[in-house]
Amino acid sequence: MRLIPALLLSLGLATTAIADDTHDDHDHDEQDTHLAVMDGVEVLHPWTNAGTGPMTLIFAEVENTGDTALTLLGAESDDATSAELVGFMLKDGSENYQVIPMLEIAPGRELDLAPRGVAIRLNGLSTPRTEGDEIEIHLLTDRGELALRVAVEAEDAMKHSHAGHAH
Amino acid sequence: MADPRRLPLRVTNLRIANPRGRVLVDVPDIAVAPGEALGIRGPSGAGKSTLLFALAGLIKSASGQVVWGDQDLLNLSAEARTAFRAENMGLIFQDFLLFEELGAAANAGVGSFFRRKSTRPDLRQRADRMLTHLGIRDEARNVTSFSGGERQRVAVARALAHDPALLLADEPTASLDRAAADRLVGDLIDLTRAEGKTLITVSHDIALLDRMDRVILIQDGKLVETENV
Amino acid sequence: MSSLWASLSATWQDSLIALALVLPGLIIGALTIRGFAPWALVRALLWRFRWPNVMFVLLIAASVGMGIGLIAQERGLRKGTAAAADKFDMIVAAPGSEMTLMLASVYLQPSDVPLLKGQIYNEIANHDRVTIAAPLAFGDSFGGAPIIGTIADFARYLSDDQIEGRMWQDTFEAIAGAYVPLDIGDSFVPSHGFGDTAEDDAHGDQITVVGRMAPTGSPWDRAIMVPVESVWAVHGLANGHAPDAPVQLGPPYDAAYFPGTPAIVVKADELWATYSLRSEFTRDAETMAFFPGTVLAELYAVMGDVRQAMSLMTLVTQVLVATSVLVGMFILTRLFRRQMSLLRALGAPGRFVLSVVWSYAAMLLVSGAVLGLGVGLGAAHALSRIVTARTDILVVPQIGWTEVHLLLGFLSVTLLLSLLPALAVLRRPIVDGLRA
Repeated sequence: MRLIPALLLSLGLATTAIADDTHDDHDHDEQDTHLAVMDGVEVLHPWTNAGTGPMTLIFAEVENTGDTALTLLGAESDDATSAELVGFMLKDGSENYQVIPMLEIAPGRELDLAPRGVAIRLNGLSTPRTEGDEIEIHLLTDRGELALRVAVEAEDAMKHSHAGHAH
Repeated sequence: MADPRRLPLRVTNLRIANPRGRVLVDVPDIAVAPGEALGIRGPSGAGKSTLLFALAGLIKSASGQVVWGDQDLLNLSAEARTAFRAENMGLIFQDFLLFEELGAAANAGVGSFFRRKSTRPDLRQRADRMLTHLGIRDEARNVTSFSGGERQRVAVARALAHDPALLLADEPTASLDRAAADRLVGDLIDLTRAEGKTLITVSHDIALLDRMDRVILIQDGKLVETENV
Repeated sequence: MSSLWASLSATWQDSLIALALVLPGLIIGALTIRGFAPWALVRALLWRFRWPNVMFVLLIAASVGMGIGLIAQERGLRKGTAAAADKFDMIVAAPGSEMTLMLASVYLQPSDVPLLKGQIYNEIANHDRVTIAAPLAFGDSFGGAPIIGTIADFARYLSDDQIEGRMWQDTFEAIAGAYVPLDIGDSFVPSHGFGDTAEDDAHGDQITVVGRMAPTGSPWDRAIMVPVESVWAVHGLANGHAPDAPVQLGPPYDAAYFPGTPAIVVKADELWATYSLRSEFTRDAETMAFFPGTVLAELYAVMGDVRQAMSLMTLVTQVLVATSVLVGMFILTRLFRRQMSLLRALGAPGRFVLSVVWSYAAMLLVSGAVLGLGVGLGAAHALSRIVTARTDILVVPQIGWTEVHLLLGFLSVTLLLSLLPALAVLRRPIVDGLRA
């Protein structure tokens, strides 16, 4: 008699697992959207906000898995006239992003590019970004270029929709 | 000097009813020649003032014809009637209706505020001349300090400042004492006669009615009698 | 078009928005008044009904002033709190609440937090990119003034090197904040704790004020800064230096004799390095590095929602006032119905009457709005003084574009609406008006 609840329970678990699988499959179809890897550099969940203006900020989690310091130098994108690293500042109580020449990440450390922190800014965008789109950019580092497919999230998103998932 | 703008008046089948349907004025026919002085008398509430206002095109609900020259006022739009008054009519009221906060000159020249810029200096000059002629000195003084007689003379200057062919007056002496009324009667008659203007005045004042060419009697809105003076 | 707009500077954008807001009102005015000279009559009406007019102007001024005052005050507060945090580029502390740590370090609202060890401090202080790594030690006070233990470099940095007198040279010397009621040369005995719970004479050591900082516009103006060694010594702890080492104040510290610090204020040599340092000193279960600027920005974002709600309320208030202005105009125009009928009888075109009534309304609205601007500034100044006195955060209210836009938008809408009572005057029968 104890078997039935156990079966039901395991069935329930299985269903959940299947649901998770479907979700994961979907994720992994586009895995390179979520994770880009290069010699000692891992970039997870690059994303940006939907919008129509000529400027957007790109965020991601960058991890230096190498043994030496990694320097981010900037970015390039065919969609933008220019791209640069920017850092958040409060200026007179208003939010402001300032151009910064580079960012160092110590070996084994992770740098979060996040709203109100550091970001990659694309300037001179001519096409609007809608949720679900992707933008291609190249992250420039002292170890070379890394191609990123940047997911476009909602206009008011504060993080990547899959942030927190393990990959 | 006869006024070059000859505007004879012909009133035909003029009927004015109040919103409840009571007939206030019902006049089949009145004619006034250019330069004529016509008095309208009758008991209070007989419809004399209503008739006068209808002649000025101020009553929307009037039916029939009020033809000045070749213009039927009742056929014109509200703005066209206003323009007709601005061009051809001077109005005088029983209780003066001056702008109390303005001086005599500004009151007499009030028409300059809404007339074409090019005509403003002329109008003001004429208003000043009128005031001087009517014995109003200290033209900048606020009219609040004026006597009734002085106020009505300012109103006369205002009515004539734009040199209209027609002068319509509603009980012009009713708010004045005898001496002031007599002086005003004299001024009114002199100024209209001298310039050949048509004068139509509603009045109880025998002294004023005596100076008219003709007086009509209105009772219960109907034309009862015409007397040639 | 949108890229052209985006390429304009903020001032240009704001100016253009202001122009766009005020333009409808100006156009209506120009179209209504063109070719007429209504001002003498408008003056007459303003004078004739001066008491209702004054009431009206005051009503408009009060409501406009409240809206403007609130917005200006909120901005002043935001700028003031941000300016107070300006010198605090990054704070490293034990993992916990960034808000708590920020309140403790920047705004001197102390609370119990875990301490960082000397090893961590040395790692930060010795980092190539770090120019200042200031330990902060809270907990004592004197007469309501918090006593903060730190290092000389931080005192100099915080005051932009504007220190009257001299820097401390001994453990029991202090630098007073600009508004601390102690003079150079005065001595005091710190109390343990803060406020009502402070225990007087818990510590026996006398501290002498040897310098005074220039005002910083922050709560540090009411704080007393002492060498961190002094706080440790007062509490009977090691002084950060090995017992056999030569006597010294400030870094380098010996990790083994470092009693710990709740927070380290870090300044990097370059802005970008600050961001790198943040990633470097964000370590699970060990340290937390954060930018007070970011915490404040997040706080402002929450406040921003409140601000939006406030703006909405302000807008609703303005609409209500505009409506009551409108209703009032209908009532006032009844007062001078006779004069307007007279003008019509004398042959004034409808548009002239419209221009008189409209100009009259415009005079009341513009005077009310201008007065409201003054009322708003006055209210914001009064509020700011209170806030500054209570928090020591220097709040300077300023009129910004938002207020200008609000004011111009309000004016334009009400100027437009003023046509309604003016039109209503025209619709009434002239003869009824003359006999009124």
